[in-house]
Amino acid sequence: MIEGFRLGVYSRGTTLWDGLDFAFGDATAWFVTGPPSSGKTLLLSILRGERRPDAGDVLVSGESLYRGNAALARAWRASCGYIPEQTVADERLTVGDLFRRSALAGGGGRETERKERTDRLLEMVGLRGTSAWRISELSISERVRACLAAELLRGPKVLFCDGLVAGAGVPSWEMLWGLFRALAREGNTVILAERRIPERWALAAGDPEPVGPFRVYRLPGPAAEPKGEPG
Amino acid sequence: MSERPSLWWIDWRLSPGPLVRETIGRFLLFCLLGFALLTLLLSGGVSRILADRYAITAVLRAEVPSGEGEGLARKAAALPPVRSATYRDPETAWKEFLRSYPGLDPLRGAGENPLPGYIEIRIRHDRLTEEDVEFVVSALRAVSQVDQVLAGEEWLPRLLSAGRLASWACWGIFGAFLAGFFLFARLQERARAVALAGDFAFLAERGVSAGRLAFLRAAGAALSGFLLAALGAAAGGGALFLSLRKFPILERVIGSPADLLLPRTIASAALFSIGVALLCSATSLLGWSAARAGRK
Amino acid sequence: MTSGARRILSAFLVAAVSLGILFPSTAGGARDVAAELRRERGRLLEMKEREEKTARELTEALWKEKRSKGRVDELQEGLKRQRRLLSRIDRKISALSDRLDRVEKAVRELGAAHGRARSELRRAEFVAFSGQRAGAWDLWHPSDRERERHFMRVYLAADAEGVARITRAREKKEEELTGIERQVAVTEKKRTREKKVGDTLLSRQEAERARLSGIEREKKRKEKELKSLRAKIARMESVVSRVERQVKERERRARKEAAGKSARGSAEAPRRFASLSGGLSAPLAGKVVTRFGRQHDTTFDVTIENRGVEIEAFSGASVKSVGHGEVAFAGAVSGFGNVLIVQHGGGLFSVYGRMESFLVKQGEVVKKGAVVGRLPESPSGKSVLYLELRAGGTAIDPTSVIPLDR
Repeated sequence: MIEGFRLGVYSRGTTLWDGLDFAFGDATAWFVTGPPSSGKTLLLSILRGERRPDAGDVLVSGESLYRGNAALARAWRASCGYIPEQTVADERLTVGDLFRRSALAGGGGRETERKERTDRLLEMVGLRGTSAWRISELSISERVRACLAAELLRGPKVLFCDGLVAGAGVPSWEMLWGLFRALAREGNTVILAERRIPERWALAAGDPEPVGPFRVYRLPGPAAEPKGEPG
Repeated sequence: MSERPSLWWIDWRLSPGPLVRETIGRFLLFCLLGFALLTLLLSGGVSRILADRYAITAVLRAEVPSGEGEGLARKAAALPPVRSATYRDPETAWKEFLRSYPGLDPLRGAGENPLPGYIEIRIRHDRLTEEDVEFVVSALRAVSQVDQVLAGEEWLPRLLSAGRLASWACWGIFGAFLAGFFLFARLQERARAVALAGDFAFLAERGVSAGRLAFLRAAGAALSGFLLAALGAAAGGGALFLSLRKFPILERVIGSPADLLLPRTIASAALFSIGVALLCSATSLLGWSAARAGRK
Repeated sequence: MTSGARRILSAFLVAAVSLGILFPSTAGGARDVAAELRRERGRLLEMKEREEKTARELTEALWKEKRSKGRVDELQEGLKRQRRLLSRIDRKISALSDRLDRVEKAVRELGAAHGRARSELRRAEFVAFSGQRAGAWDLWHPSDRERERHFMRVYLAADAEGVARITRAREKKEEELTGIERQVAVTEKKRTREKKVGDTLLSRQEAERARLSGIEREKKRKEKELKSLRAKIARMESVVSRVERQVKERERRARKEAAGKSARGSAEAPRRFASLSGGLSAPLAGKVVTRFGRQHDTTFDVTIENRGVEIEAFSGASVKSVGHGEVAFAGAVSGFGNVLIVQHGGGLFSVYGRMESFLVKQGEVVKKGAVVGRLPESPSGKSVLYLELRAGGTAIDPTSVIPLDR
């Protein structure tokens, strides 16, 4: 359970938002939409423990990320996966490097196993055999999917995705829909921040919960139902 | 939460190719520095050279017979600061003199030898000080058979000062090499930290502490530096040993190969390795901080 | 003209005048025969006195000769001693020269050895300097260089000591050489002095020899003169004895004829000349250089008696007759050259000797101041006229009756 209490952020001389309350339950895929410059990426950073909010606090399993033990916060970040809206800029990196780096952050493991999983995950996101490709040679959709697959290599408990759906493109929506449902089914939590939710996904998710400038959708999971409105 | 990642040798895991080259280069440098260090340790800078160049000449009276001169030489050799004392009879002295001034040979073809015999006394390199020289000179002057003692009183202080300066210069050059290594290694570390900045940022985003990362990198650098320095010193020592065995003339300048195995030599080499390890860890930390500063 | 020659001439003139007085006119001269005889006897006595005097002079010359010979012998002895001394000095000089040569040779050898030693020392110093300069920056062998410098000092000191030893030896030899040279110089000076003494002795001996030879010549001349005087005396004695015989004959005749005439006193002779008509005048302008009467000859240290005077005048001067008369004789007389005798009458005669030529002939009457002849030419520009005045056979001083410059 990830909870946000009375979160407030002051940015560019004004109050971006204040007094927001969130509650993202475990083993569920959450969809947060909001207009441009509404602070979606900032919200994900706050939830990941990267950026301290100007007001309020974030609790993870009941422990404060910013007022509690720093080690706990680091452990929380280590257990999170994150797919940024802007993918890596180092053009020398290959797709395989992404997986190697992810494996390093995940504590290593055997090389052969890592390779097998890399191949499986790439195949899953439709990028089979692209392990040696440079990131710079990939399209935006492919980069996003490669990053998603690299993050999945570590098996994060919570996966934060910033603009993933929009970046992956319409052809991947079906795959992503199935993936998120599968992750939720395996007990993982997925929090997506997008400008807007695909129409079909909105229909399946039902009415969103308006929180400040955002709308929070709870994607239906096959094993678990949304546990109600946060706060 | 996922298990905590191991950050030992993280640079090796992130960038093995350049590190191999860097390690080979550092090993060769440490071989060189180890060779230089052991050479300096054994030779004491230039003190062995000075001790080999410097000699006290005790000019005997003309009437002193050869047997008495040799006996005096044996007594002089027994003095603590003396390394060796050799008696040269008047005939030998005359031949040596004519070798130095060949133009005099025809001038005194029929004349008799005007030169007396003498004792050449050489001082141990670790006792080549003005006090020890004065001690030996005083002891020789007290002997009635000795006519005059030539100990370079006019130029010995200058020679010793020059020797000290030269030794300091040698150690200074060695230190300059170490400093150069330090600066170069810092640049290397900084460049590597910059090159791996993306990876480090990725890890930081995933909860890896920057301090822990830097510490573990520095520890790795220190460990690798220590090992490389120890290996380099050993290799340098081996090379020095072989050189001394192959060219015995170098023993007069550097010392005996057996001195390499003296505890103080080994301890000095160990200290050198530790110092290099500290330098490596420092360069790692400085490179890291420089890279972070540049990135910010 | 020597005094001996003058005496001979005087004797000749006396004889000539006597003959002129006695024989030209037997009638005119008979009156004075006795007086003349007395006079001739007196003259004979005078000649004998002169002979005695000449004999004394000869004795004196012999004594002088003996003394001179003794002096010459002494000088010869002195010369012998001087020669022995000189010979001894020469031997000493020769010995000193030998020693000097030996020492000079030793000095030369030592000088050569000294030069060699100095040259070797200089070369050694050059070698040392070059070596020191080459080794000055040899910082690699400081102790060796120091020892070599010390040994080089020892070497050069030994060489310098050798040079000093040779120098001392040479100086000693040079001192010895200087001493010998000083000895040689002193000996040479002594030799020169002794040689000068010897030369003086030699010259004195030569002078003494010359004097001796002069004395010998004088002695011979005196002997000759003595011999001549004795011969004259003998002739005069024969003449006197003949005249005495004639006088005895004439006295015997005179006693028969007439009373004798009183003779004129000889003391009146000058007055007689002065009483000549017109007086007397100087034969020529000149100066009297030889006086009348007894004169001492310093050259031969003898006293001679002049019967006339000698007047020095310009060469070629004209000789004039001192008074009126007749030329009694014109011809050459040994020792007087061309002689002219003028008879002035009354037993007065004037005699002119040393003439070059005559301008009158024998028997020719001449007046006072008439030129009778000339003096000879002489390179010195001066000639001498001999002038003698006789009155009654007695020579009188011409300067007493004729004004002449003295």
